[in-house]
Parts: sequence; structure tokens; C-alpha cells
Amino acid sequence: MGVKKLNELTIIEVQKGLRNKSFSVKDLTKACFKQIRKTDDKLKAFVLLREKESLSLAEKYDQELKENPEVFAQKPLFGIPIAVKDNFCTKGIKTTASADILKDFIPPYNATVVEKMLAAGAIMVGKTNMDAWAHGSSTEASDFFTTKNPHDLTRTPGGSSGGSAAAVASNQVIAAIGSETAGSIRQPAAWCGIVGLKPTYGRVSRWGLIPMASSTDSPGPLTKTVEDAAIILSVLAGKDERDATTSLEPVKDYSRELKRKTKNLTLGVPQEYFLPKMDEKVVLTVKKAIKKLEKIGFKTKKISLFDPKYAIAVYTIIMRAEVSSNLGRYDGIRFGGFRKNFGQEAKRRIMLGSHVLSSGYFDQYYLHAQKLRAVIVQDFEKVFKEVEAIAAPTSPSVALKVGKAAKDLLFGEMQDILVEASAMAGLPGISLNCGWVNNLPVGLQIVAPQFREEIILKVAHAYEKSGL
Amino acid sequence: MTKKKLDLDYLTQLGNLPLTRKEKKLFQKQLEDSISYVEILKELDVNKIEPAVQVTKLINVYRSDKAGKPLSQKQALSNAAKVKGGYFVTKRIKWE
Repeated sequence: MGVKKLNELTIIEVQKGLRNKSFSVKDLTKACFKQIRKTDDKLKAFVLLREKESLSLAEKYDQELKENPEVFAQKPLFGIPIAVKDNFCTKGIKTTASADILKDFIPPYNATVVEKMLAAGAIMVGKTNMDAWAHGSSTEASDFFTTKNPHDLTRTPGGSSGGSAAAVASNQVIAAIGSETAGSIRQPAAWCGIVGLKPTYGRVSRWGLIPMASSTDSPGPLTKTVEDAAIILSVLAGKDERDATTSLEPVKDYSRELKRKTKNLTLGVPQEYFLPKMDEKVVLTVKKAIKKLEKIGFKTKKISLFDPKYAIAVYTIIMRAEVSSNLGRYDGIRFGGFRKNFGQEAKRRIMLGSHVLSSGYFDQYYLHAQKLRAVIVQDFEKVFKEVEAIAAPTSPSVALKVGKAAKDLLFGEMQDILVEASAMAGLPGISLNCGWVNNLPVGLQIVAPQFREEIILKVAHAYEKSGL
Repeated sequence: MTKKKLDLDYLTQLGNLPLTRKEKKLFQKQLEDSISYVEILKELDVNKIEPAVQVTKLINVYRSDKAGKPLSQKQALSNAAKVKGGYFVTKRIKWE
């Protein structure tokens, strides 16, 4: 293997290189933009780029590093070029959620996630494409254009954080920020062969995140390694007074947690998550990965979970109800364009959401779904009395061809069948690459009880360290 | 004609969504298909179950009683379609 180019490095490798003065922040930032120029005409991961601003910040950081070689202690993301999904508000920088209605929206404030990332020294190189309003699992529902999968340009990167996943997988950036309502971090990470971490609901602030379904929206990192995900999570996590649903639960030093020994963890393997119609090669790849986890020293145990086919319906109802409410704010008066300019997917979701909440239907749809959500929560609580974490496939297939989504009305919900229950229960989950089928990556997900991100990071790190 | 499962005119009114006739026709079928799918839930009995209100069990979340720094009037109006004398301009709202 040849020497890695700067843009191919991980956060840890970048920090080592900067410490040793092997390269400058400016060299690194330039390398990322070189790769973006080379690849993004075809990939289309970005909706906005900030080359000039990024390079001038890089120069400033090179000076700062000269004056303070220990800057990494205060700024854990110092000098790291990072891409941000375009549903995080960025002060003075266009934020569209890839939606026509917001195509000219310039937020007067930063999302908490953006604020924290910038305070930690990250360089925001640009904003990434997504399914408009995060409604989808392929970026094909973007009102602007479709992002392509770096491993096969005829396929989608998954979504909704598809731009962020493609940017990381193609080494346009060192890491990226995404958001997940149910699958929007883990599924594109799986389809692009990288690491995607969805934290516990309430672990990371939603303030300044353009909402999809507020009761499950969770911002999180997309990275090249599990170690990098741990670094970013430590930066983003924590109580935020501006988001009342963030937790007071103390934030752990996730990087340090990775170094601690894992002892006798038992992983549950839910039989229902190997679906009858699933791609057989994906099933085999994930089963092999689980065997490998056993070899590393984890115990595994067959478990039974709430049938995912019902989870789709529960999720569809709850999410669309919340979408119809959240998109109610777009009145074309205070900010954004007019409601007639919503894309078709948004319109469908608003109407179905209005229907399940409307008088006469509320009990049979929305209330029924919320009761089943309680069942799902209890189901996981029961299982976590027997096992410390759950291991399962992230997605039923590898990346699908561009054009598939348009043919299937519940495409997003169907693709995310294996992550919806855990998202609704607010659990943390991570997806990492566990093999390849027809030269396309397959994702393995690890899920743990609420606020136990260190468990999924440790299991995933142990797997990653052992080599594919 | 069979009874429609969804009253699209009512839903567009609830969602304040101006739809074209063509869109209405398309969505009628699509939304009815989606509703048929989620009806799978009715197979599960939820009679004695309390609904989930939230999942992280937080209670009584207050922030400290300190005034924060709000957006300036200029900032708050910066994305408005139409502004006059420091106010948002809207269409006349009238209840009938």
C-alpha cells in the first residue's frame, strides 16, 4: 500500500501529522479541495463549498499551532476539514436542507452542533446534499440533485445524510456531520462503507437543526474510523439549554473509553432482523461478521425483537405526524418560500401526517402507533436485561441503483426497516463496514441501551481493529 | 363509485397545501396505498397499553431564569419575503 494522501487521513492521523509538522493545516485543506474538485462533478456530495474561507482559516490555524503546540488539548478537532449536512443552521451561510423552499435561507445563528464543532477547531469546508428535509434514504428526494455512491456512480449513497457519507467515503473530507431520524446516518454509512454513529436521542443538541421528526432527530458523526467517531461525539454531546430534550447525563470521554478493556460483553443477535426477502449475500456477510465478533471474544446470544415489519408502520405514522407539524412553520412570511413549492415527497408526508392526526383518525393511527412505540421501548428494555448490546445488519441490501426510490412510495421507510425500532426507542447505534458484496460495502450495526455509546464504540472498535 | 379512504380536499386544507388537480389525482392513489400499508398495525392489540409520550424519561426540564441574547430585529427580519417599517408583511387574515 502506498503512502496515504493527506485527504485520505483519519482525524487521529491528521493530528499526529500536524504535531510532527509533517504537513500544515493549509496543506491538508488544500488536499481536500483538490479531491473535491477532482471528484465532485460526478459525485455531487456538496451543495455549497467554502474554499476561500477554509483556506484562510487554515492559515490562521497554522499560525496558532506554531504559537501553541498543545492546542489539540483544548481543540480536539483542530484543523480538521469537516463537511456538514445542509440541515444544520450556519450563521451567515446558506442553509437549505436541500429544499427549494429554503434555497435562499441564510440563518442568523449557528446550530449548537456547528458552534461546538467550530469551537473545537474544525474547518467547515462546505454543506452536503441530502434528501429534501431529510425525507428519504437515497438523496434522490433532494430538490436540487442526486448524490452518487463513490463505490459505483450508478448507485445512490443512501440517505438522508448521503452527501456527508459520500464526501467521507471519497476522501473529500476527513469527517462529516449528519443527522438521523431513523436510519439517515447509519444507512448511508453502510452503503458507503464508512462509520456512522447515531447517538442516544437527547445526547446531542437539536438546536438549529432543521427538524424532521423532533421526537427522534439525532445529530451524529460520519467518519472513516470508530476512533474518529468517538472524538467527534465527545465534542458534540452534552446538555444544551436551548434544547430541553438534551440530557444531563454526564458526557464520557469516549476516546478514553475505547482504550478500556471490554469484558465479557454479550451481544444479542435478533433473528427477526435477517428478513425473509433479504439479499442472501448480505445475510452471509453479516453472519460472518458476527462469527468474527465471537472470535474476538464477545459472547453472542439469539434474541427476539419486535417484528420490523410492524416497526415500519409505527415509524411511518409517528414520523409523518411530526413532519406535518414541523413543516407547518413554513408560511413564506418569516423565512423561506411558499408552501406550493414543497416537493412531492414533503407534500405526501404532510398530508398523511395531517390525516393520522385528524379528528376521527387520531386514535386508530397516531395513538395506536404511540402505544406500539411504548411496546418497542419495553421490548428493548427486556432484551437489555440479557445482553449488553445488539448486533445486526444495518440495511437489508447494498447500495441500490439510482431511480429505485421513485418507484416505491415508502422507499425510505422500507430501506430503514432495521433501524427504525431502535431510533424510535431513542437508542444509540453505530454502523460500520463488515465486508463487501459485488464490490459494494455491507454495514453491521451495533445498538446499546440509552446513553451507553461507549459500548457500541468499544464493540465496533474491537471489530475494526481486528482487520476485515 | 367506491367511498374514498382519504378526503384530499380536507387534508390540503389542514396542511395548507395548494395542490394542482394533477397532483390531487396522483396523491389520492399514493396516499391510499400508504394508508393501506400502515393498517397492518391493527393486527396488534394495544388495549391495555399506555402510549409513549417520550422515551428518555426526562421530567421538569427548566432552564435558568436568565435572559439570553435574542436576535436583533434586523436579524429576525433578514429572511422575510416582505418587510415594512420593521414588521413582517402578511396577507390579510380574516375569519369567516
